[in-house]
Amino acid sequence: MNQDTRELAKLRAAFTAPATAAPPPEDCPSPETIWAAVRGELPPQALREVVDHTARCAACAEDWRLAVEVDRQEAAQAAETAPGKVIVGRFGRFRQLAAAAALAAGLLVAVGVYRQAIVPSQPIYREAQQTQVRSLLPAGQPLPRQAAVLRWTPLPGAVSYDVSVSTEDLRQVATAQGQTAAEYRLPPAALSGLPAGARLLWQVDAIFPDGHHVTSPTFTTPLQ
Amino acid sequence: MRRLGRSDTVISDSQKETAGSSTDFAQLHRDLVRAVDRVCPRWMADKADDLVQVALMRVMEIQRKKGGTAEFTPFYLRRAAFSAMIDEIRRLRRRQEVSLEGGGEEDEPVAFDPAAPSPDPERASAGREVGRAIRDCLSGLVPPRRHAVTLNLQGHSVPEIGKLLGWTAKKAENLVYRGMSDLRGCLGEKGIRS
Ligand SMILES: [Zn+2]
Repeated sequence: MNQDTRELAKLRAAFTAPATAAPPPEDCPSPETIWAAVRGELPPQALREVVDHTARCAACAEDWRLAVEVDRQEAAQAAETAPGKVIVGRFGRFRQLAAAAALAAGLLVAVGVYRQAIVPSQPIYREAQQTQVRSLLPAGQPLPRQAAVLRWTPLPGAVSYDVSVSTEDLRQVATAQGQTAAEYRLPPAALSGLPAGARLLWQVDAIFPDGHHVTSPTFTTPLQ
Repeated sequence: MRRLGRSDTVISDSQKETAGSSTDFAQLHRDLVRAVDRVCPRWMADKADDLVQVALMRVMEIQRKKGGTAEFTPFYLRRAAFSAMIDEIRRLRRRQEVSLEGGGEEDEPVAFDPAAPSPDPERASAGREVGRAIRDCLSGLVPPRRHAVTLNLQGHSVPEIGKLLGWTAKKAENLVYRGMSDLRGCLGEKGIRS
């Protein structure tokens, strides 16, 4: 890293250092406005106003950087997808370009800088194929309180299952470790404080003999 | 309790489990968590998962209320999730501010403190001071330079700045260069050497 790069990195870090106090939210652009600004979708004057705001407001500067990061990941992801897929990348302007062709043509030169920065250290885009635990509850059917049994597809080789159950606002309802069957009966007491129709989030970890585990998706199920 | 993990896919039993939607959510979840991890590691630390989970649940709720999946595109999802996430972050920031304003409750643990979790509070404090000085200096720059420098400090490259502000690459480069020079001068006058 040369002197200029180091200096810029330091200034950038300081500029986005978290502020101690958040500004009144009514003074800040909406998240949608920041999103549109980052993607170059705002009229010039409106864009300048948002930029000026982030020059004064550390919180919105941070929001802006988050938008940039999310947008860049989308662009990087698009560049990795199969040719022909719609690419809604930087500034929303790269569409219907085959990723390979775009790279070859140098159209994603700007993207290159951050592609380099966000090359994943783990194969995150392929995790979905490894989550094989599926819910066996009938879709949409409320879970009876007195017989609230969560069921899932067993994974071959798994020796036990850990289960965690939360409410939608992520308050813990129940947990269980070391379940040997591919089901878990929720204690009625754990559900007593929940209103009818409350939605439960639940997740299963399948544990294997070598200690590794496979985490299921988070399922949601309404409570009777 | 094992927290809902980073490899979550959010799938509703009451929704159609189309491959597209669950994959979109899984991808989105990972992208958002990584974005939070990368941009606000100091004050988010271990909160990224929960925060993103809440944001995605809100998006799912909106989807459910709307019925139909006409807008259920990755593009729409991403924007909606980003908005929900920022709303949540802003709510947490406000809560922190109220908590600090409240004072006198030192026994109560502060759940969320953007300023404190840095391993080195002195450095964090110095960083905030430089941040304030930068903002002060920016306010004194002429608008085009201020815009160029602000975007540069936000992590944008010169070509990106040109595209965003409708400038040629040459003009963007020029304004970034001159603006950064102004900024250095101003910081120097405040006794801050970069
Ligand atoms: Zn603001």
